[in-house]
Amino acid sequence: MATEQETDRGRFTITQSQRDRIARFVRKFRSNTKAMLGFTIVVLLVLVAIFAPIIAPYPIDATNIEDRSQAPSVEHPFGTDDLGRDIFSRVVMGSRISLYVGFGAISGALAVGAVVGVVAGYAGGLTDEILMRVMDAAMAFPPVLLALTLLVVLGPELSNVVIALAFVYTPYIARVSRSAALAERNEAYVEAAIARGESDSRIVFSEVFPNCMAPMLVQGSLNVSFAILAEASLSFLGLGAQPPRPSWGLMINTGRGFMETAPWMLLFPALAIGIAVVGFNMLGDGLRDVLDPKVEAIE
Amino acid sequence: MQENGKGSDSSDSTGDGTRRSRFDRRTFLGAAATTGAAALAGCTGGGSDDSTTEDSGSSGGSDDTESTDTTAASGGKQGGTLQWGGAVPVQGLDPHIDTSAASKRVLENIYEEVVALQDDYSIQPHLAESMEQSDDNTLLTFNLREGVTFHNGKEMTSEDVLASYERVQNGDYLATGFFDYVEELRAPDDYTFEVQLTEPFAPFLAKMATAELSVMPAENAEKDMVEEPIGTGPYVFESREIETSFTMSRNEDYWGASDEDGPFIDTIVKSEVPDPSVRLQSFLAGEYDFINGIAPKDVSRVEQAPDVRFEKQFPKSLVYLGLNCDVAPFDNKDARLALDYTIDKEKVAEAALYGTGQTTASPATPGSPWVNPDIEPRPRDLEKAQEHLDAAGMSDGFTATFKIPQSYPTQVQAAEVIAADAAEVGINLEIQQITWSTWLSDVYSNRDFQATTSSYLALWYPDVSFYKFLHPNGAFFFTNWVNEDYNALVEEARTIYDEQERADLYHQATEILHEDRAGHLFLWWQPSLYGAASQYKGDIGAPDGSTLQFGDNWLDR
Repeated sequence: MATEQETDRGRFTITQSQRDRIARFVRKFRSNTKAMLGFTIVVLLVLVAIFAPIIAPYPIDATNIEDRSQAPSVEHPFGTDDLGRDIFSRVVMGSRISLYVGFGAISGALAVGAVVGVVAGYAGGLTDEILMRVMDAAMAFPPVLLALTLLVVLGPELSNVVIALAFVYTPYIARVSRSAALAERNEAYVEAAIARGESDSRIVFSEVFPNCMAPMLVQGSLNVSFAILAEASLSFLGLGAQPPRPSWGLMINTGRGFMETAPWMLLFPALAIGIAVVGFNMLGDGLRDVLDPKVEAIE
Repeated sequence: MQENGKGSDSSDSTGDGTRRSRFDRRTFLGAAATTGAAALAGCTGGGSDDSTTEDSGSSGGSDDTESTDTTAASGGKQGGTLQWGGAVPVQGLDPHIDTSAASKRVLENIYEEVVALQDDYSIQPHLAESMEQSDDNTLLTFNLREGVTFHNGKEMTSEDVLASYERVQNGDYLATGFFDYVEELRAPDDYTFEVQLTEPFAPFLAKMATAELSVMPAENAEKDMVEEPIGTGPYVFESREIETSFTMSRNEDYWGASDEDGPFIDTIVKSEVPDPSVRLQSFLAGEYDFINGIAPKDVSRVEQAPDVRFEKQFPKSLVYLGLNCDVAPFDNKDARLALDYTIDKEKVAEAALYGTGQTTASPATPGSPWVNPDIEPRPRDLEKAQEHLDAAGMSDGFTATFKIPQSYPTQVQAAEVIAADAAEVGINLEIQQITWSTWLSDVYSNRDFQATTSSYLALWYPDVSFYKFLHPNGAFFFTNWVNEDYNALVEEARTIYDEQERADLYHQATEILHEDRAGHLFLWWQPSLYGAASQYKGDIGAPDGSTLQFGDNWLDR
């Protein structure tokens, strides 16, 4: 993975070696069933979220008491809930909330965690100690518990869920990027850059950082699934999305009371969460297999 | 002065009017009581689930709601153990301190009061044989029963009654404020107890009928907090495991015991089962003889179950939409009216209560003389809503947060329907689910809210309905709605003992509440919902509408 040829110009145009790497990546990715399956699920999910208003046949907050708690039928493929709202429409629209929180929180965590991790890993010494001990402290709390505490302070709102989860997952990203940066620090290209007299910040962000991307990507996509699950849990507890928003967790919370009489209220949002979590998990796992040179060596 | 038949406490097995007709209803009905017991629905503190609302109490009701198989006046069979699956765990056991309906539900069977509430909402002597009022309505004299013993074997005398009352008067207890109107408490002899009021104050006698003025032995009255309840009631406290179970047994020496009125059941074991689905499942599986707190959505399941009695009793609690009249947008009367006109009250009640509720425009107990028959909830009318929005200078609508206690699923359902309705004219109510403790601190104590929902229990006495939360000096005032004309009316009503005269004042007051769109927009009256095994006989509930009296209940097996 050395990048001696990677001059200033090289970062902006795709060099032959990069082209090769991308081609190799795509080849390996496509031959990895787990990665492909996860990728397909995630793409479908994103498409559903983008086109949700077109797909959903009914408005999500149109209550209709006469049609409450109807079993799945042609008109309402997933049935209706306790207020007569179409569950299919709500599950479809709910994908937006899950993906918004999942991607939003992890983008935030990546933005902060990656910088902290790479800086700590590259700098070493006292900087490393201080930054990583802070991260360790934050990691000492169970994720959902920490998010819960933050939400009690920030107030129960969806945007606050994103902030809280971004905070919670930052240390996980930071740990991974630090180990990656540690490994890169002693590579020849870094020594070369130092010899060229490049500044520390330039070395960190232009040289080391891009080479730490792979493990971050893996960790990130795994964490998206955790964040989706965490959002559902928080909404289930009443601290996340507020009614009438169709958060899957919130729908499960309401559906719980109707388990015996209208199980579909619980079933479909639960399935949706399951599919989303499995999708991101498989994508993350698959990416790790594809990007990790050690796995390649075994194969 | 009136003589009261024995055992008047336990509701209705007689079901006829004999007791009542002997009694000059007007004299005391007027004086009838303020229950401070308007125990806030949620004061049970827990709110770990819906059960707090869903289950609270029952009303003494016998008359119309009973199913056919209840006991007749012929009496019941003695013995047996009643397994009760209870909704909200019993909290404190000191009747002068604890506000929770869950505690009152058991304490009601252990403690008794000098006077007791009847099914027609009148007040009758109970531990007293008779009572008299002076002509100016300021001196109340009670001739106590002889031969009433506490559970510790000691006989009850006026000394115990006096000690119990002085405890509340001199301490800091729930009913302490009512003693501002008391000049002197006296016990001239062993069986006479006198209350000298400073001025006519009708709510005092009503307060005397609540657990907040229960009679306890003098030595217990000296304690700051009673941990082991000792009373004179039909049931004796046995044991409890906190949040697990509560056991009481039949009082063998009950002064009012009879073949007709019981007590019959040997032991009553309350298992604490806060989760409504678990409670219902266990009940339907035969684990319990009786459960309270059936969720409205599950009513059809109970009705359809074989060999099960389903009981529904009004009124348990009054659920309202609270608007803060001190902050924008609801400091503007037109904004309040606009919201009022967007809400389809029938639909909201149906959504939350599955047909078990009843809408209202008055805080007075349905069926009581205090209800103004001419005032109805405003019908949904979007044009009028828009007119009021225009008048408020908010033609495009407005946005407000809507804080809902999440432990009450019925209120969350109602809030969703209300928010969807209001959105049609641009009134954007942003629902925020909060815990019960947050509700108490933010909404109630700090009045930091724009709109909310909550409920009141046990509004059987009009002073509670009209004063406690709607008058600025009321103990539960928090929506900041102030109207001087209204205040004058309800203040005057407190000093009047004549039923018709008081009713007139309350009717006028209701009109003001409605016209001025007070901060409490009443949504519905909610019944208590019970399930009982078919062998469980007798009328379930107690006249106050939020507790249970087991005295005349029995098990046919």
